[in-house]
Order: sequence, then C-alpha cells, then structure tokens
Amino acid sequence: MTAALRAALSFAADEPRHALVFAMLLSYALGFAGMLLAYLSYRKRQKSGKPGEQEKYPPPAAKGPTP
Amino acid sequence: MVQFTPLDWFWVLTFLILMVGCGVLFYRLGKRSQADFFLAGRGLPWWLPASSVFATHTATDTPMWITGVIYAQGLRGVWLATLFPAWCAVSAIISSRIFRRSLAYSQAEFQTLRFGGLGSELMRGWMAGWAIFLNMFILGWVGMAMGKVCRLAFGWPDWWGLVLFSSVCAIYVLAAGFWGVVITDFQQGVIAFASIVIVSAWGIVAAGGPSGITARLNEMGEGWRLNMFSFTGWFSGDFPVAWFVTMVVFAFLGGVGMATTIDWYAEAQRIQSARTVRDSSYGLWAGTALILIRDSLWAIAALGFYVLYPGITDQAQYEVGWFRIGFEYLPAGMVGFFFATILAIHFSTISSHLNLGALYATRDLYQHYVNPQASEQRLVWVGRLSTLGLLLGSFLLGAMMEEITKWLIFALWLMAAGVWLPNILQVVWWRFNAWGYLAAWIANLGASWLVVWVLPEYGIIPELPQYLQFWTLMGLGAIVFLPVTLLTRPENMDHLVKFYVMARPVGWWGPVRREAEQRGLLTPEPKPKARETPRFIRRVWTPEAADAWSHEDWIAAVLSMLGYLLIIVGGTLALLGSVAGYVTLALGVGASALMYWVIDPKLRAVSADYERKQKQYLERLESVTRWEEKS
Repeated sequence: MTAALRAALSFAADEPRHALVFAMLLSYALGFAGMLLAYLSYRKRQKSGKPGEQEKYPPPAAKGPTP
Repeated sequence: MVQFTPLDWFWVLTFLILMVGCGVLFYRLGKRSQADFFLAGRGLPWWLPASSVFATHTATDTPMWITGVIYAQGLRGVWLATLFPAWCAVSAIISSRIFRRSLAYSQAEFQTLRFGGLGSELMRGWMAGWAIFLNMFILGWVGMAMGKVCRLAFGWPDWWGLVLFSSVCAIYVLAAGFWGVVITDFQQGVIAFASIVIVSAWGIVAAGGPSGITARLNEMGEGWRLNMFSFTGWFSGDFPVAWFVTMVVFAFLGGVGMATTIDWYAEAQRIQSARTVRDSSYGLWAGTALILIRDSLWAIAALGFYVLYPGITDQAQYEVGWFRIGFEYLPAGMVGFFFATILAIHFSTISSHLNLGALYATRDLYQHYVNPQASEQRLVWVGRLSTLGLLLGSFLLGAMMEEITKWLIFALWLMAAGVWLPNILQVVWWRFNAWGYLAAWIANLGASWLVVWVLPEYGIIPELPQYLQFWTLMGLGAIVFLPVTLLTRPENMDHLVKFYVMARPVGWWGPVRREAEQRGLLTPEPKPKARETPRFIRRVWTPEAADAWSHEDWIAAVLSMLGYLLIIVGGTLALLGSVAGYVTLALGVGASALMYWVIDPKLRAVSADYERKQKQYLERLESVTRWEEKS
C-alpha cells in the first residue's frame, strides 16, 4: 500500500516536495473549510429570513465623492 | 560560530526591550476596537504605512533570496527580486485608491462588496481560509530562515531560532495588534535600512570596492555578471527576453487590479490603515521605492560576496552570503548591532503576518460567519487567539522547509499565475462575477500543481520555463473562468451600483455607471466646453471631478513605473561607480518627481472631501454591520 502510494506520488519523492504537497493540501483544506463555513452561515440566514449581505452596507447617500 | 562581546549583548537586549516595550505602550490603543487591533484606527499618515511596507517585505529570508539569485545569476537576478514588487508603481496610483475607497478590512471582505449572493460568500470564505494558510506559510518560511541564521551564528538547531524569536515577537502583536506592528515597523525599518547600508558597504569595501569587484569579475571571466541585461536568448536559458517581458507585463497590468496575490494582501491592510486615499497611495509608493533601493544595495554586496567566495555550489551555503559578510567582517561590538538588525527584519515580517492572518480569521470568519453580534472586546480577544494559533501553525510549517529560495519562488509564482487575470478583472470589468472568480481560484490551485510538477514528472508535458508556466496557467484559468462567468448571471445591479458609487473602479463599468447616474447617485461627467482650452495636465480639481478617472491618472501610472525601472537600473549601476548609473538614477528621480507633480493635486482633492465624509460613514457602517441587529 505504502509502496503503491509512493509510486503514485513519485513527483513528490524528494524531500522539499513532500513539504510542498502537504502545504498545498493544507491550503485546500483551509480554503474549503472557509467555504463550508460561508455556505452554512448563508443557509442559516436564508432560512431565518434575516437580511443578507446586500442589506448589510448602507447605500451611498448622495451625489459626489464617496463615501 | 560568532563570539558576542558584552557590547553585542547590550545591542540585542536593548532592541528586544524596545520592541516588547512598544507592545506595552500601545496596549491600550490596540484593544479599543477591532478597527484599532487590525487597522490602527484607519488614521495613519503616509510615512507609517510606507515604513511598514518596507519593513514587512524586508524579512530574514529576503537577503537569502536576493543573495541566492545574484550569486547564481549575476546582476540580472536583480529583476527577479525587483519586478515582483514593481506592481506597486501602478497600484499606488490606480488600485490602492479603489481598494481604499471600498473600506474593506481585507481582500476577502472586498469580495462581498464587489460581488453579491451565495457566490460572494463562498468566495469570501475561501479567500479567508486560504489567506490564513498563506500567512502561516509565510511565517513558517521566514521563521525557518531565522533558524538558519541562528545556526550560522550560534550553532543552534534550526527550530530554536524559529520558535524563540517568533514567540518574542508575538508578545507585542498579542498585546497591541496593528498599532504594535506599525509602530515597531517604523523603528525596525529605520534600523534595518541603516544596517543594510552599513553592512553592504562593508562587504563592498572588503571585496575591493566597486572598481575592485568589477576588475576581479572581469579577471575571473565572469564579466557577464555585471550586466543587468545579459539575456540568455529570446526564449531559452535562465534569463530569456520572454521572461523579462512577461514580468514587466505582470507588474504593470497587475497594478491596475489586485493582481499579485501574495503581496497584495499585506499591502491591502496598510492601504486601509492610511488616513486618506492620498496617504495610502504615497505609503505604498514610498515603501516599495525603499525596497528597490534596498535590493540594489544587497545586489552589489552579493556580487562582493561572490568575489570573496567564488565557486560555492551548494545553494544553502551561498544564500547566507550577506549574513556571512556581517558576521565575519564587522568589528567586535558591531556584530550585536547586526544581529539586532536581523531581529528587526525578522520581527517586522513576523508581526505583520501574525496580525494579518488573525484579521482574516477574526473579521472574515469569526465575525462574519460565526458571531456577527460579537462585541468589540470579544473581537479583539478572538484576534489574539487567532494570532496564537497562527504562531503555532507556523512552527509546524517552518519545520518542514529546507531551501528558502525554492519555497519563495513557488509561492510568488504559482500562487499568482492563474489568478493574475481574474484579480484584475474583478476591478475592471463589471460583468465578471463571483462564480467566475471562484472557478479561477480552484482551477489555478489544481492546474499549477499539474503544470509545474505532476505532468512533467510523468513525461506528459515537458518541463516548462517559468514564463511559459505563467502564460499556460493564465490560459488554462481563462478556459475555466470565462465560460463560467458568461454562463452564470451577472451580479445584481443594485449591488454593483453600491460598489461602483463607493469604490469608483476603473475600466469597463458603463452599464453600472449609467444606472448610477439614472438613480441620481452620480452626476454625469461634464463635457468640456468648446471655448475652453484646458491645460494638458490639470492642476486644479473639484472633489467631484477628481473622483473620476482621467488621463492624469494614467500618465502618473506610467511615470511611476518608469521611475521605478530607472531607479532599479540606475541605483544598481551607480553603486558600481558607473556614470551611466548616476544619470539613469537621476532620470528615475526626475520621473518620480514628475509623477508627484501630475497626481498630487488630484489626490489632494479626492482626499480632502473623502476624509470629511469617511468618519460619519464609518460610524454608520459599523452600526449596520451586524446583520441580526436589523432583523
């Protein structure tokens, strides 16, 4: 099993690339965890009928330079 | 191994007390609110963000990286070091203004301002999670660079230097947040710049001075190392013309949007911490200009190191060249000062990324998704806990890293290539949407891995030169994000109008602009009267006119880029005693002064009115930030 895994991941055979593979996987994991959190929060807000992101920021008040 | 005298220890201890003392002094300011803990209250004059930009990007690994590329590539390696930050030349004029006006704390928050609906939320969540990783990753490699320096100086195991000094630095970040970061950055920037000048000059003199280095390299048959433009061909070799052109395009167009992912995140925080649009622009410009001057100094010192120690083949040995100059050539009593400088450049980067990573965890994940009603006090505490988490995570990542240069190139190049174009499109094209952007991000992380390592390893494609990797990844990304964008609906027009009126982005925003005018939120741009013969460069602006983009902005952006390029070439050659170098440097300073003359009246007009309205607006914004309060 280990040998098969190593063969499949031969591009990561040398030492620095082991670390790179780990780093890439960690970046995916944290990115997707953030997305999951965003999705759950969004769904909860939709169900509860609370205002969404579009109501969060007040519209610009007047003409001219902003805000 | 370096022998420290009592005077050396005095320098080191004084520095540590000064830095930790700042944490204590600014503790009260930092804990007032989230805005203070992460943006120093958004009230900084331009020179504080500028020194912070310089100090943050001057890390323990930076002299290793620059020495590494100069030792291997000669002076042409300067471009590798300087063209990455050169995007700031254009960004200081264009995208920093857009981002500052958006008032987003972070790049992730910008997503929910620019885009709407579920796509924007997923994008914000993804970017926040990824930014936490990125900051931990940077902390790891910078920390490991410190570990290597400590091994060189004291013979310690790598992880001692990694853990000890990052932990000391974390004390003032935990206490005072961004106030601690930016105030210590100023001091560290001054110490670092002074020391870089002293140590590099010492190394250059030790190698025989500028003329001695030049003569010795020519004797060794290595004269090509003195040529910044010693291309290896149009498309082949280590330094082809195609690579250089790619980098100039990468930097120039990238500054129009938020295109250099890895740097932009840190700059974004400094842009928002500045008190006005004008301060944010000058802060970014000046900080990066200092970086370019620093790189020129290091480059010549690295050439000196090559002359002193030629023929080193082990990268891990020659990339510590600048540190060796300091430890081996400075007199007793100065070595401690040099080590304090190393601590300064280490602390400035560690503190920035600890606070920046914690910003994403607190503002974008905790407050936005977990507890929107959290009090300011709680948010500051979550910020501190996140800081601690990042510190611990960085120890794990740092312990895995071996060669600094490989990591840095990987991070700078691969993480930027496939999202370079979408990072620009999010600013310049109204039709680009959250789904397209999200698709580009996910596709890039997969494609970069495949194109750079996996497919060449299995012989499916050849190993591509860097510039081809960039264009390939950009093309592959476009194949994914363009159809996704065009097959999904545009963002809601109400949302786009709000964003447009607030941030006033540049580029293709016609339909949104017209809608905003119809709603009475913007005044139609006046057409010039026939009898008027306005000056080519307008020097008097009303706030409303200054808010719109004009040819003055583009002229300033071109002059800014030109100024940077001439400063890089002129500064480097001038340090070698070349007359052409002095002339080029003078032209660079002239181009920069002209840029200031062109853009300053406009930036003043934008900022004067902006500052007045911002305070009131921010108070209103904070009061409705918590969604549940409105229900």
